[in-house]
Amino acid sequence: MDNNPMEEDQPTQDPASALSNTDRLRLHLTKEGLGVALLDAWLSDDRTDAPKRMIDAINNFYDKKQAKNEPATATED
Amino acid sequence: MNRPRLQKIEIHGFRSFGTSQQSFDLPPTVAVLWGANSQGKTSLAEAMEFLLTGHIARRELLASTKEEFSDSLRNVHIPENAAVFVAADILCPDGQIRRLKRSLTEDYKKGNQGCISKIEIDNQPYQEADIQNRLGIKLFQAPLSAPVLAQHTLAYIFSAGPNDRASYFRAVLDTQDLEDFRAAVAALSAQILAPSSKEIGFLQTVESIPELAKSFVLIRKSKAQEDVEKNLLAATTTFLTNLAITPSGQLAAQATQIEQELERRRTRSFPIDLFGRSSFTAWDRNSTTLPQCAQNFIAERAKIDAETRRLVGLFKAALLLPQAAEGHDLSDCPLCGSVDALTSARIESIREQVKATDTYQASEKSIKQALQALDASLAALTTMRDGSLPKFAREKPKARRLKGFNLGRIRALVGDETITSSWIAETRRIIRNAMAYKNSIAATRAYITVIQDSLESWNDESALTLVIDNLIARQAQYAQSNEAYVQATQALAVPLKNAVDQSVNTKGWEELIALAREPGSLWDGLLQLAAHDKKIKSIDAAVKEIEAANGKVSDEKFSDMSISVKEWWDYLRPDEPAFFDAVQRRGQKTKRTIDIKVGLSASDDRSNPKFRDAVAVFSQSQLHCLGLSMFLARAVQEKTGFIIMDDPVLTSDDDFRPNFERSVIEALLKAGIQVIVLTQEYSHWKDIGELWRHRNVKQLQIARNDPTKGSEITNEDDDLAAMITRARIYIKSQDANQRKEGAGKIRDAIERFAKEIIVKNKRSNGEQIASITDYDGKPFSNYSQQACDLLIKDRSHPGKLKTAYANVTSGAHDDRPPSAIQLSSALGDLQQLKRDYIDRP
Repeated sequence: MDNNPMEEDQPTQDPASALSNTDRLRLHLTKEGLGVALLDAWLSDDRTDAPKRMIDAINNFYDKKQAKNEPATATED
Repeated sequence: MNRPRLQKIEIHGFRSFGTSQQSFDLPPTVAVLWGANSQGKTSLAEAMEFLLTGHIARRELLASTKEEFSDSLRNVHIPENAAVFVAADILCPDGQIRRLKRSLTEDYKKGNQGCISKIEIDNQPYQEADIQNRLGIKLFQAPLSAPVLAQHTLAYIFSAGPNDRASYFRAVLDTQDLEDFRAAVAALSAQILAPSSKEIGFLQTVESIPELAKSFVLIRKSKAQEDVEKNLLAATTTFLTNLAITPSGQLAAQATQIEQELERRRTRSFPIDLFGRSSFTAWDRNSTTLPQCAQNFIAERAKIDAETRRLVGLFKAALLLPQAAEGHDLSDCPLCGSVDALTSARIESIREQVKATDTYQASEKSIKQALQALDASLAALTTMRDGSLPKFAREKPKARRLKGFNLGRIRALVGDETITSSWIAETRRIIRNAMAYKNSIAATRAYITVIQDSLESWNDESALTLVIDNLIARQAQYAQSNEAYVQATQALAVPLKNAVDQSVNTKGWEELIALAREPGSLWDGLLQLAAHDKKIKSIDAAVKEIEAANGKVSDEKFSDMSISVKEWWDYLRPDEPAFFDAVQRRGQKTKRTIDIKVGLSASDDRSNPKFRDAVAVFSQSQLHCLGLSMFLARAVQEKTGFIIMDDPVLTSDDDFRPNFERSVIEALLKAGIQVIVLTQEYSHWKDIGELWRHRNVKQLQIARNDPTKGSEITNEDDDLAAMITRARIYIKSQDANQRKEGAGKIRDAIERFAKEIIVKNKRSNGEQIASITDYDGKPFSNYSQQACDLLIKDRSHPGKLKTAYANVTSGAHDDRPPSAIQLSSALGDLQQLKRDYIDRP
């Protein structure tokens, strides 16, 4: 308690708290799964057009699956 | 990055603040404001909430009492046209000082509608988002958006129902964005339109035929078009067998069998077949060469005189004579017998005349062919027109009636007069136009006959054009009515067929026939359905995955928060055997139930604790402390620049107050947070002032002496002013005990005044070590005369001081409290003496 009276304290930065909610969410979603594709679409622009972008993301996700001739599944554990 | 700091606050007309505009400065470290009950502390806290969020959270949290907050923001005593606003000078993270001002435009009204306000930053209008974007003030998620702690905030956490508590913690954890994302993904299924091809519609209808249900389960599961065909054949075979009809071998043939049976049944109920009609194709006027042929013919005919045209046959016959062919020089004419008349010169002349008529003859041939061709086309057109009329229009009325086709039955079956009336109108129109069209065709054909019969002399091209124009006009009219009739009949056909099918139990048959005829289209439709189903299932799976992942993020943040809450709890209540353990979801799949777990230990070292829900086992004091810990943890987590706390420590929690004054404020300052404390505890105010004087603490007081002026904030760190303010609350009380307490407080203030002027005088005479504490414990009578001797500005002053003291001092056996007038007079005199000898010496 012996600081300069007018000097403001400098808070210490917690590195873990630097992660945003969506950064944290991404870490819990299946890599290259539909959830991540939808999250990317959700975050890429403003919320008004997000449903359209997400539907496009679903279609792209399926097109890629078709191109790879794989069965389209939402989650691949 | 620097955090925003409040530098100055201004309030006018908001809640307890009235006509007297209040303005006070704040240091970047700690400010403490003292005020007794009902003097405006909570109004000040809510003024800051209003400034930052445009509403007060108390109304949002106490949803059942929203109605009661009607007209609650505007001070009731200020004039109607007076402005209501809260403003603050804010040192922003970019180093600039900006003034944020929010003015109330419309107060809360009855019902759920919020109040309306407008924001200005440096006198320019701005949006809510600019509070963060321009000023760098990060607000929390609703409902507790502002960094303002109030009693109702603390109570809310523990009194809220499970859903509201979950929402609160979602707000505290600031995970609403994740919930928004999950909800947006969950809503996608409804936005992806299911395929709607004709075949899928047929499929759904056919599935309602009970005996085909099993077959269509197999059809839906088909893996290839061949499977669809095989399963459809099995379905139609079963269907026909059930109808006691021997199925033909092929699918298409079986479709025809079903169709025939359908027609038979429908006809038995209602002669739907009488609506049958052929398609109609309009005649193209460019398909005839007649107008050109006619024009050419008339032109060629004009070139040859009539006598030549008349004799050309005779000439041709003459040229076929052997004499003419053999080229005899002289021969008798075989037609008239003239001797030597058929000379070679004459034969040559005949040959030239015949040659000249060749072009004419060709044009004549052309026009005749064109006339015949057009006549044949129009004959075919007549037949087509007849066929394009519905069968009932071609039947005689009696025959129609015998078959049961009449308007009464149609009306009854359709059950919708609008549809039936429209159909009747279009039927009348098409029959009328069909007749006109037919007449026009007949007229054209009649004129063709006229031309054929008078070809030698006919030359009226314009009449021909007129006849064809008329035909085309009538045809266009018919085509138009034909189109309208098709639409009206389609509208009629749906309810009519449904009614008929229902009466003869043939619902779905028509669709079955269509599917059996186009199994390829059904396969395409099934593929589309399968793709759609897969997408919907994968969205559902994605929602579940996101939900689980959101839960994990919440767990992480709960864990982070729990660590932080624990720290604050330990600052406030170190070494207490009961302690906070965690905020957590009740289970891995739980979204709606948030538990606040605490540990109960029998030992001071918190060993072997038993864990329970806080709400169940904590005292009110402990819950309050836990709520405060959570608020502080959130403030640190959100990296807020400043916090405002209204009575953060309960009056009954004297034991823990020093922990707050020292450890909590110190930790907050270390976390880079500007601290503003509002308290009703004078000693708390005083202690914080003493403890944080080295950090330039600001001490303020709030009092409301005049309801119209409203709450007034003074920059007071001197004890005498605080004592006068505290005493003022009691002097007008009707309660004798209150007035007695007020007398005591005025007496303390008079003694303090006396000590202050004596010490002041001693110090001005060089006695620098003189201190008020020199007089601690001494009776007023010991130093009152010394003080009176210093009151030399007016001869009445010593007497005023003595009288004031006497008025607030009871005699040895006098239990009666002073009157309100006596107290008011004593306090007034004391304030005047303070002004004359201390404030403005």
